Amino acid sequence: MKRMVFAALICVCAFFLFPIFAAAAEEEEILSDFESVIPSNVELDMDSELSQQIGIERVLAEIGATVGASSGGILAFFVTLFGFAILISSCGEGCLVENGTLRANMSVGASTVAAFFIFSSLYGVLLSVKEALLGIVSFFSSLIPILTAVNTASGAVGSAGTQATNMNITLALLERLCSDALLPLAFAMFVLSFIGSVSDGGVGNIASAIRSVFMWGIGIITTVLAGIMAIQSVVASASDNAVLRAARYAASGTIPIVGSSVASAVGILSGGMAFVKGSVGGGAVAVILILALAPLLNLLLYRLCFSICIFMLEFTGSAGGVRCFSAFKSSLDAVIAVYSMATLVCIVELVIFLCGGAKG
Amino acid sequence: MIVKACALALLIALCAFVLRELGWRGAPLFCIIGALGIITLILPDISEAVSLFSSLSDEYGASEAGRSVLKIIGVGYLGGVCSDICRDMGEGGAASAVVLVTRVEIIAIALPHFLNIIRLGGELIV
Repeated sequence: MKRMVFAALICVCAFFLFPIFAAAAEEEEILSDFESVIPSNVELDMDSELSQQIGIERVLAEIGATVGASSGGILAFFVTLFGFAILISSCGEGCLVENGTLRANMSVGASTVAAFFIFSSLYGVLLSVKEALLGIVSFFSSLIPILTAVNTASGAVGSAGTQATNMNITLALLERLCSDALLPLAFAMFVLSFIGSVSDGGVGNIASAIRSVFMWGIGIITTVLAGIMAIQSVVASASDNAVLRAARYAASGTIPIVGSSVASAVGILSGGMAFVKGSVGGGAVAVILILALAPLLNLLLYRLCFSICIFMLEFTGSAGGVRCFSAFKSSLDAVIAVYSMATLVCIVELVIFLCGGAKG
Repeated sequence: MIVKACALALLIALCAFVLRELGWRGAPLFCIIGALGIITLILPDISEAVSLFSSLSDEYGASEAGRSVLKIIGVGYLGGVCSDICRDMGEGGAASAVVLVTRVEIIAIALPHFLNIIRLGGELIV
């Protein structure tokens, strides 16, 4: 009789502990899956300490590498832009041509040619921004099954479902933004701002109105998305926590002798999955930051070039040049805003993933 | 060079004053020719600056745009100075015509670049 009870206990233990061992093996599998989806241009070693790899040193190194790689092109752009600024400023207030209309025409003509140069220079930058966003979208897309697996393995089935749905919606939005909206919007902004800068009429007001509506729209969409995702995640996490606690309580209360051990094992499993979750989530945030950093820095450096030239043009009193360069600068601001919003939404999703789920 | 220009200007002004006092009606024409002579003094410096800018824009891949901007400014200055001279000689009609031609010329130089912007934008959207 004793033997039978002992055998039955072993069976019960095996029944409850088998999933725990299986889950431990799954942790390894999830980490290796995550490593396999990291883009080849991002060096991230999941075996060594993650916190050291994504620290401030790494960010500074990435900034240094980006600036070093693109410094030649940006310097050439800046020198040429500065040359154009000097030439445009020669059509300004200090111009020897007394006829105001002719002076304005010279300024507009020179600004148009400079605009062509600026636009053809920024063309490549805009394409690289699009490529970077598509890279982020692709990485995020391959990340969703892994994140869902982590949540499911840690017992947060509700969170897994909610977050997977949210991530898919975000992904669809980002894909639409990259493929359909970003470049046409950037071009429309450039053209409208440029025409507004040279025509001195209502087109400039339309361009600035569109820009401000767009910026407001981005802000509202980001806030609403983040808010909805956070609320859903909190509710799903609470539900998952309740289920997991109930399971642990049931295990410790209903299984004789080894029940508390099973409950502890569930806790250990939960801790292990929390580690995996932290590694995957933190690693994913790091990868997205590394992918997003280089184009963002490039955009900011181009913006800096415009700021310096605008300062020089203001100093020489060339109102037309200031308007033209300011138009390009503000259009670049809109592109930076879109790009930052897209990156931010991905990071918010991952932070919600990190903070949500079952805590055991 | 500035000393040369100042000396030449003073000499022209003095000569023009004397010619006007003598009742010669061609004094304004004399002044204009003298002013053109003064402008020719700075031509070597201008051509040096232009070639410097051209070589810089060639080096940084903006040769076409750089040349066009220089052309626009050159045409603008030329037309402006020419219309001022016509106006000084009391020929307002000729001055307006010169301004009109200059404006059309500036538009003609800038227009291909504007069309290029539209073409690039089309490529970007499609």
